[in-house]
Amino acid sequence: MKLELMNKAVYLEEFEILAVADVHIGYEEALNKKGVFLPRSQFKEMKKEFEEIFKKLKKEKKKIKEIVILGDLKHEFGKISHQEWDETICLLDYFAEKAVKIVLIKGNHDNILEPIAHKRKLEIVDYYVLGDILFCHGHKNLKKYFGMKKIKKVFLGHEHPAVSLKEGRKSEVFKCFLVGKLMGKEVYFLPSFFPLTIGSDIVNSKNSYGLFNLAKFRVFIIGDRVYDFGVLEELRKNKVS
Amino acid sequence: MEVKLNNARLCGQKELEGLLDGLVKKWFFSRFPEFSMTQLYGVMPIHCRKNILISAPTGGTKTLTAFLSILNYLVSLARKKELEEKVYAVYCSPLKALSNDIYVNLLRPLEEIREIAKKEGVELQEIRVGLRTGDTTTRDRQKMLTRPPHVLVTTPETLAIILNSVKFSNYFKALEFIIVDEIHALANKRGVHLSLSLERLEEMSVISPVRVGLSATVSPLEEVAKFLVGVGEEKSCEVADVNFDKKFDVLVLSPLKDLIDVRPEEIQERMYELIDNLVQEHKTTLIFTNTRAATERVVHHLREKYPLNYTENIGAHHSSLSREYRFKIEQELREGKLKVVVTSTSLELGIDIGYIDLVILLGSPKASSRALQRIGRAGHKMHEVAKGRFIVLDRDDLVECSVLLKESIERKIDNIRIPKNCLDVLSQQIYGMVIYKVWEINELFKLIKKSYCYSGLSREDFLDVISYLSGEYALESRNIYAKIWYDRETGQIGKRGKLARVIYMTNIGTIPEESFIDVVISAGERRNERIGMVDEAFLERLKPGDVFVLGGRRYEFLYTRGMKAYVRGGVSKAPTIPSWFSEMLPLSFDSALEVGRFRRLMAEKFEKKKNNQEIIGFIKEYLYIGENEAKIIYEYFKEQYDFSEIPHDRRLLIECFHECRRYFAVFQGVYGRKVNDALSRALAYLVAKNGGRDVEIGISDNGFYLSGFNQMQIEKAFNFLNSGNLREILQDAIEKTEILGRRFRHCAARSLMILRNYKGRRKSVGRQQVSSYLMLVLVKKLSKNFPILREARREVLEDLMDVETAKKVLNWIKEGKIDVKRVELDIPSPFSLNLIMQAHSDLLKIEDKINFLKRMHKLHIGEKA
Repeated sequence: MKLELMNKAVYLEEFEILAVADVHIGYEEALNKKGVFLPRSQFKEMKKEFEEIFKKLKKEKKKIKEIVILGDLKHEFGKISHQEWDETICLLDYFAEKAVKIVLIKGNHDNILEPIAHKRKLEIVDYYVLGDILFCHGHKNLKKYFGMKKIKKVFLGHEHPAVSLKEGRKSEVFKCFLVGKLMGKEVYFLPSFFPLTIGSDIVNSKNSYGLFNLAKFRVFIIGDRVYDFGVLEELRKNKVS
Repeated sequence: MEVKLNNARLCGQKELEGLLDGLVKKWFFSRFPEFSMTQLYGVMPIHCRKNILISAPTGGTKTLTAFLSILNYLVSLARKKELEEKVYAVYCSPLKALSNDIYVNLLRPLEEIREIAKKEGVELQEIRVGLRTGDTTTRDRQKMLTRPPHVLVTTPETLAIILNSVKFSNYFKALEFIIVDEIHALANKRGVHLSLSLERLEEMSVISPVRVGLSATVSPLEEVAKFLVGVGEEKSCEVADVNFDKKFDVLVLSPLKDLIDVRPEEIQERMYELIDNLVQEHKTTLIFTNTRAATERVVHHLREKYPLNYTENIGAHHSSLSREYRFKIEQELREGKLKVVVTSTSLELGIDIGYIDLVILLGSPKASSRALQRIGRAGHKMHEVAKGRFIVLDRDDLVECSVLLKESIERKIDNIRIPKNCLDVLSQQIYGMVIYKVWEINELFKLIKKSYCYSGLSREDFLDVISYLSGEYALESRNIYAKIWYDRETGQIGKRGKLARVIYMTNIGTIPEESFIDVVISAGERRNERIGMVDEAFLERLKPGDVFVLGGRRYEFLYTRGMKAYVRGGVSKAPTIPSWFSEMLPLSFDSALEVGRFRRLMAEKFEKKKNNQEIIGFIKEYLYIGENEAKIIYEYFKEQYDFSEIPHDRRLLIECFHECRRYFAVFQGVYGRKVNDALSRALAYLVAKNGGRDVEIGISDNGFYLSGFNQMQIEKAFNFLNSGNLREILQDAIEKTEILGRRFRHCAARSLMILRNYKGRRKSVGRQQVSSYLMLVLVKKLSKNFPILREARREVLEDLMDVETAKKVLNWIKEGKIDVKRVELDIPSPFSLNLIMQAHSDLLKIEDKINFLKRMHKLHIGEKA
């Protein structure tokens, strides 16, 4: 299968699918509600990044049939905030211009996504299967999904993977993809598309995302392009203090 | 605009006595044989309604001096039944634990005067005193609304809240006196905040209230006086300096005859022996340690090593212990139940702590004013001798403490600096002012400029703050960010939103909230008892089962729930001791120069080939220290002199050498950490920019070092740097630093961009919510000149560092007053070695994140190939 990691999204050429995870629209308004009054820039920035992805695909004459959103499209657990209403609909409409079909997968933040989805006549699903590929958010039912025999590849969001690189006293954290094998299946963890936070570093923590042993997973760091950094195990060993 | 300052006149005993109402006179002489020096200076001007700043050491009866005239006035009114339903005097102190002092200086005198009146058959109206702090109950607050206290006792924060209470502020309409206690402890943003509240009080009152400032030994008095009374043609202030009276008996002690060829454990061992001996020889001892961590350590070790001497009679006192615990320690001190109390800095301020006959300073107090303040806690009467002992643990510490001792004895006080034009505090105060009423913009500006801290405020800065508050920086979502409205046509400004008052009242203050976690007992008899706090970063490192020390006792960490850490007491396992961050006090520039001067005198002696006896004799006489300590200093300087040469205030020595394959340049300049911070970062930035790579820096009070570059660059950078471009270079250098992010978070909280309390929710500083880095990134997208961001930069450059003084140093270099000399060495000199070991190191990042990623990628792939 031909697969391209572009910015924080994945493009599957065979199926003409673009998949993204953890967009977390409405993060800033959620902060406002907690008394943090920062200017809103998240949406503008994300849109710019999406534009670049679409431009690049167009240039390479690659089509998009489906856009798969791997859960946590918006941030608030509870009711839908103003920002979420406006921006989610705006983003969905933008996607609708670019693709024939939008697949909305339910994430743990998406308790109340239905009204918005309904407005644009979209269905929300717990997972999405295409041939031997399964897409899901990754916060529950993983054992069930991995038990499905015909599935060979799994795409997951939810974890916001990131790694730190260290040199002497210096240390920087980067968003990354994690790609590896598990229970006989190829597993892809997508970074959060959400630009405001990087994610949680898995080089210095023992976090194994619940049931995975990540040591043998390959790390692809996102910078001006995507960089292959080999297996996580090596990065963990290499860390210089 | 200048403020007229006059020296207060010394009044005669009889003259002052003649002033007092019969009842007050009788009361006074039933308690005291005569007026104190402070009273002879201070009481009369207040009686004559003149502003006055009274500077006197602790135990100098300052508080009563301020109250005596006012009490006298109130009693005379009460006798005539002329007391009105209004506040006559506001007493404001930065200390929250005020109640005891107020009892002694206000409530008890009033009670006793009433007794006397009763005996004499004089009928007196009731004189009411109201204490209002953050802890005052709603019921008491309500009571004050219907029956105002004649004397209102409060803190700066609570005062700002009361100013906005529509009903209560009516009682300020004819305010007659304002007393600001511990004014020397307000040379910070709290003080800046208070200075505006004072102007607001002045504006509210139809008469101009007399301002009384009470201060410990402080310099320059002129500056503090201006800070007290504000600026304006009609302003004047009397100044009473009553500092010359207190006698000192101070010594510097080294636990060993030699501080270099001994094991560190041995020094520690002997230090505790020395402390124990001193404590046992005295009745009550107060030990200052500078940091909370050291406080814990000392209590712990004393208990451990001398279990028979230290049982319930030893206590710790620092700001992360609970209020109840601290209060208990203070109470036991006053009752004479404690033999020794160990404190970080929290007992420096003037709460009455009873009889102390010895103060031990463990580690340098870093400024002569602070040394005097601490030593002054001993000998509680004005004329008693204050006994202090510095205990030093290394040779630099010995030199520094000896110089501070000299300054204390010779009364050379370092200068304080009051922050100016703080835009975050201004935002908060403007918000408060427009909640109180609708203002005309020029009228608002005029009031603000009356505060000494804002007398130089530019109209542009002022308007930028108005723009921020009215949401003009975030046009698209203005309704969310705007806190005020500003009508350009009418020039009027007012509050916005129904919640404005609540938001203001619950988020006021200037002390940055670090995230602290309450430590609570999990089970047993003391279940749910709160012991104190640890900071979040420390907690993150703790694993269940870890043992740590708090309040001098051991606890085992079990688990956390929300903002609480649950622990088990009575543990016997060995502890890991809490370490707190960024508590290190910087050496004051004035004291640093004194160290530099001493070094110069020493260099001259060596260069003139004086013999050791002569030099040791000089050290003893110049620094007022003993033979043993003088010998240690002599040896230290001789080693340095024999090795290369002695750097001093007029000779900046740059020692360069390779160590562990890295190039080091050590700048031997004793300017204090604030100045060295500025100089080293600016230099490192220039070097890093040139080389495109990060540079490591190390900063101490005695100098700084740069590491990891070639020597050409450093020379070039040093030649390029001057007083004209320093500020600009530093601004670029700090732009991407963590410290700017952290300070921005503080400023954002002060200017109410981040609310601690919002819609009934109280949240932690919210490290998990938004990193300070993220906040910086977002705000820079708005504008690089966003006023609160500018304030954060100013705070880093002027308060955390000292860019203005650093400019002065650069000018001295340019004018040739400081000679710069570079020497190449094989190994570091004795002075350098100490400097490197003690320096606080940091990395000046210059490399772009993407470049770093590319380089690391190459390195990574290269390794595998």
